Amino acid sequence: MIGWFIMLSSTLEVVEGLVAMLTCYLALRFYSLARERLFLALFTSFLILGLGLLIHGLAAGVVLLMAPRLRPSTFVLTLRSLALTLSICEAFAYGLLAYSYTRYGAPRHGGQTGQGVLPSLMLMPALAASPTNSMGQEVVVGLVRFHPLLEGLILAILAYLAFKTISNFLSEKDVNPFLVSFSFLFLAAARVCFVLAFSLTILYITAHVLQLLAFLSLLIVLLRVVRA
Amino acid sequence: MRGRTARYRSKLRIIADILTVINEEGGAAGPTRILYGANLSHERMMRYLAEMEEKGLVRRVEVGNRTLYEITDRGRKLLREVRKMEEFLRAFGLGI
Repeated sequence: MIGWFIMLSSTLEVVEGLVAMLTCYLALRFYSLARERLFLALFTSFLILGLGLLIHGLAAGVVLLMAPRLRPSTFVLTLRSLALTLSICEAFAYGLLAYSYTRYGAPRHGGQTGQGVLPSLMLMPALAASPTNSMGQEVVVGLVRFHPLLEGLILAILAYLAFKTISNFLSEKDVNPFLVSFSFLFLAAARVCFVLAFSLTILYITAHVLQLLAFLSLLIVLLRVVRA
Repeated sequence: MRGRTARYRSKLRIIADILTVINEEGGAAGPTRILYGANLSHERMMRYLAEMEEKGLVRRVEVGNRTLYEITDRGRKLLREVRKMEEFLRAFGLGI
């Protein structure tokens, strides 16, 4: 049961990471053409997002599959560190995107390091008491996602980005702006599910499916732009 | 970008505007047509055309007693890339 849960989560994150890297490549290509800082911001944003998703997807999958051979403390700390890394990458990447829209103020970073320690320690006895191969899905969600508060911060940034891209679609009324607004709307919806998944585990899968749809929508935009 | 006042045109935007005018004229256009189409002063236009000629984006040809500027393959390629870039930015609702 846990096996497919982990594999699905990791596989989807890798796919999403690859789409983010493709966006990053396109932004770099346009930066080399125009030398505009906006493209540099887009490149940096999608590079960090892509790396965060790829590293988390691959490393969390490997760590969780190797769980029986790891000490519980090593296992928990590794997963929590990976979750923190992903959350910081997402907060930074989406924050930088939001900055690109506003063009003022600094990107908001999600450095909630202190708050992640308590849930980690609370999970320790649970893991120590039960073999890792019989972990519940709710424990896995608590390990692969950092903290609901940090997820909430990312949600706020995504809600802003969804608002901006929907506004753009309403003024442009074209396919590509629609797909981008759809993408950010689904990313925000996915984030709501990630926040709620801490108490309702099944929403973790829903969140990943929504996030995948968002990235696939972005992929369609990229292909349309490249083939234009 | 719609709904946003452009304060200035970047160098790339001006070059793209010149290439668009030439392309829309069937691949070759005279200075007067370029001047009006790209909305430039004569001095600026000549400076841009000289630079674009040097970079291989356009070539100057003499037809009778007229001077025309032809878009090259390199110029067409740049124009395609600029259009992709603009479509990318339009999709996100961003502008430069």
